[in-house]
Amino acid sequence: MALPLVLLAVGSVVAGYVGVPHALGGSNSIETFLHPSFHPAAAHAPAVAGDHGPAAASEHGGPPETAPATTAAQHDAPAAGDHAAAGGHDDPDKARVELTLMGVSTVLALLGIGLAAFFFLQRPEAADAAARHFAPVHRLLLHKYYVDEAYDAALVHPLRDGSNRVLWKVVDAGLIDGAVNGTGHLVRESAGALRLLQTGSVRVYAASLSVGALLVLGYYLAR
Amino acid sequence: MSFPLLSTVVFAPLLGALLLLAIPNRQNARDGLVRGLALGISLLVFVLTLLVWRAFDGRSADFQLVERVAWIPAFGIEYHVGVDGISLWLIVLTGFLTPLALLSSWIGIEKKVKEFSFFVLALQAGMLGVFVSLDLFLFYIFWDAMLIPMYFLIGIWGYDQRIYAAIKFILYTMAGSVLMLIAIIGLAVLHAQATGQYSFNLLRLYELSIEPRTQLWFFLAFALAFAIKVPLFPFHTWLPDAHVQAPTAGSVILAGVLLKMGTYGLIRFAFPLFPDAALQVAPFLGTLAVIGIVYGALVAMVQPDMKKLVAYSSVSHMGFIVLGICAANVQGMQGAVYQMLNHGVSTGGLFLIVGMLSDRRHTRQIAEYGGLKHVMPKLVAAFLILTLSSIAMPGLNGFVGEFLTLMGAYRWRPVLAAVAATGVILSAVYMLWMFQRVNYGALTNPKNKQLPDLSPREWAAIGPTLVMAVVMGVVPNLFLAPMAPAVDRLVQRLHAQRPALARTAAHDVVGAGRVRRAGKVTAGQVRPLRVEVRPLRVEPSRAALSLEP
Repeated sequence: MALPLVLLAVGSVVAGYVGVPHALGGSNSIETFLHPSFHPAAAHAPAVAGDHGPAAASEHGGPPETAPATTAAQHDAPAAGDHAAAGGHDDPDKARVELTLMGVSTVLALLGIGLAAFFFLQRPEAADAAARHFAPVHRLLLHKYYVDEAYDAALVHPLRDGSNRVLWKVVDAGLIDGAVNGTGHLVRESAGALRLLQTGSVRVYAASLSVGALLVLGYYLAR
Repeated sequence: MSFPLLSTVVFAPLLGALLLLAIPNRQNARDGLVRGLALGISLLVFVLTLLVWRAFDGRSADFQLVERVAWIPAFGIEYHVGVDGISLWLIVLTGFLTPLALLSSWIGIEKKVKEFSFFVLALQAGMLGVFVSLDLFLFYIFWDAMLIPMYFLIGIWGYDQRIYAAIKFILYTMAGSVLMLIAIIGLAVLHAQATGQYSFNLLRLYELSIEPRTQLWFFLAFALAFAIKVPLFPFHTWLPDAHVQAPTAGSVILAGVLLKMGTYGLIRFAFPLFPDAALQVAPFLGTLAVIGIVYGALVAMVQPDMKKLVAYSSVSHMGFIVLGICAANVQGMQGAVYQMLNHGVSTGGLFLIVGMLSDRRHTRQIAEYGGLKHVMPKLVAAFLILTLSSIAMPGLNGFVGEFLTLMGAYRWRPVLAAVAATGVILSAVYMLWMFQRVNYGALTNPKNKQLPDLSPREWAAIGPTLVMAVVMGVVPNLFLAPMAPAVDRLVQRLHAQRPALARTAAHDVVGAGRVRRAGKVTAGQVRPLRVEVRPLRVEPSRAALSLEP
C-alpha cells in the first residue's frame, strides 16, 4: 500500500503548481486549458449537423433559420471569455479573495494536522475520552452518518427481498410459469378425461354408434 | 451468380454432420477423431461465413449473393436465399460461435460424442438457413427444423431435469410457430388474391398492401412466434429451464444465436411485412420489452445458480433489442442489430465460463464458489472482461449497442428509454455482485483449492469472445457501416407513405407522424425529432427576420 500513497503524496505537492494564483504573481496555465474545446463547439454545430450528409442536406429548410442564432452565440462566447481573463489580472478584490481563500484553507489544513497529531501522537487516550464524552456524535461519525444503512433499508433490501420472494418465486415461478405449465396440465387432464371414453368395450362402442346414428337420422327426419 | 456461396455456407455443416455419421465409433474409440473433425468442419464453415462478408458490398441495401430456384412452382414456393447488412453479421456470428461451442464440450460431453457433434452441426445449418431465407416457406422449414437438434441437445446431454426442459422448449416454441405458419399461408393466399398466383417470396410480399385488420392479426401471429423465441416478457419462462438444463454448447448456441432468431424475425418479417400494424402495436411491445428489461434484471439478481442468472440476464438484454426495434428509427434498429451481436459474444462467453467452472466442480451454485481469483487468475480475468462487456462498459461492445438502442428509444418514447436505462444499472448490480461472490474474497470452500486454471483448449474457446468484445467496442463502425444501408431502407419502408388505408393508424401511433407528413420528409433518418425541435429554438430569430423587410 505504501507505493500508491507515495505517488499520491508526490502529486499533492507538485500538482498545485500548474496553477499558481495571480495574487502570488503566478499564472494559471490550466484554467483556460479546455476553452479551445468549448468555444468552437458553438461554431461547429452547423458543420456537425452537416456531417450527417444526405440526411441533413435534404432538410435545408432549417439551417438558414438557425444560422443567426449560432453566430450570435459565437460572438457572445469570446467576449465573455475576454472579460473573465481581464478581471483576473487587475482587480484588487480578486487578489484579496484569492489570498483569503489561501489563508483559510492553509489554516484549516494546519488545524487538521495539529488535531491529528494531538490525538494520534501526543494523547491517544484523549480520543477515547472525547468519544465517550460525545458518544452520539461519535457513533454518528463512526457509522458514516448511516448513509449505507439508509441505502440498505430504502433500496437494497426491498429490491433484493422483493425480487427474491415476490418477483421470482411468486410472479415468475408461480404465476407466469404456473400458467405455462397449467396449460400443459389442462391439456393432459382433459385428454385424461376423454380417454375414459375409450373403454375398449365393443358393446359400448356399438351402443354409442347406434345412438349416434339414431340422432343423425332423427335430426334429418325432424328437419 | 456463379458460385452458390450462401448455399455452401448453409449446407456445409449439414454435409459435415452427415459425414460424421459415417464414421464408425464403437465404444467411443474414435471420439478424438469425431471431435477434431467436427471442429474442423465448423472452422471451415466459419471461414465460409467470412467469405460471405468479403463478398458482401456494404454500400448496398439490396440482398446480395442471391440464389433463386423454383422449388414447388404450383404454390410459388422457391429456394430463395440472400444476405443483406442485417443478416450478414448474424451469419458470421453463427459461424463464430459454433466452433467455440464445440471446443467447450471437449471434456464436458462424454457420451455419444458423434451424435452430439452431429446435432450441433445440424443445428448450425438450420440457424444459417433461417438467416439467409428470403422465401417464407423455406424460412419456416429452417425455423422449425432447427428445433429438433436443440431438442436432442438439451434432452440427451443436459442436466437432471433435461427432459422437462427439452419438452417445454419445443412445445412452447412450436405453439408460437404454428400461428406464424397460418399467417404465412394467409400471406400467400392474399398474394394470390391480389395477383392471381401464390408466392412466398418475401420481397414480393413486402409490396402487398394489406388492409389494417388483417395486418394486425397477421402481425400478432408473427410477433407471438418471435416474442416466444426472443423471449419477451411474459413468454420467457422456457428460457431459464432450457439454459440451466442444456449442456454448455447448447447454452452458448441458444443464447448466442437462437434467441437472435426472434429479434431477427421481428426485423426481417413482422415489422416490414405489416408496417402499419407493427407501428400500432410497437408501444405495447416496447412496454413489454421494458418490463422484461427491469424484471429480468431483478430476477437475475437473486438467482443462486450462475446459469440461471445469465439466463434471466438474457431476458433483460434481449429486452433492449426489442425496444430498439420498436423505436423503428435508425439508431434503434442499428443498436438492436448490434446488440444482437454483442449479446451473442458476451453471453455466449459467459456461458462458456460457467461451463468451465461447472466442468471442474459439477456445480453452478454461486454459494459453492468464492475467492477463485486466488486459484485461477486467468479464468477470472476472462470472466471479468465478459462481465464488463455484459454490463455495457464503455470501450467494450455492449456499450455501443445499448447506447444506440437507448438513443433510438429516447427519440421514440423518452419514458420507456428512461425506465430501460435502470436496466443498465441493475445489470451492473447483478453481474458485479455475482462476480464478487464467485471470484473475490477468501477462498472458503476447500473443494476450490486445487482447481486448474484455463487450459490451452479453454483459451481457444474463450479467447475469441474476449477479442471480439474489445474489437466491437473500439471499432464499431467496422460492423455498423455494412448494415447501415439495409437498416436505412428498413426504416424507410416502415415509415413510408402508404396510401389511404394506413394513414389514420399511423397518425395515432407514431408521435412524430404529424410533423413528418406535414414536412414531406421521408422518415429514414429519424428526422422527425429534429424537425420538431428546431422551430421552437429559432422562433425569435425567424420573427426578427420577418420584421426586417
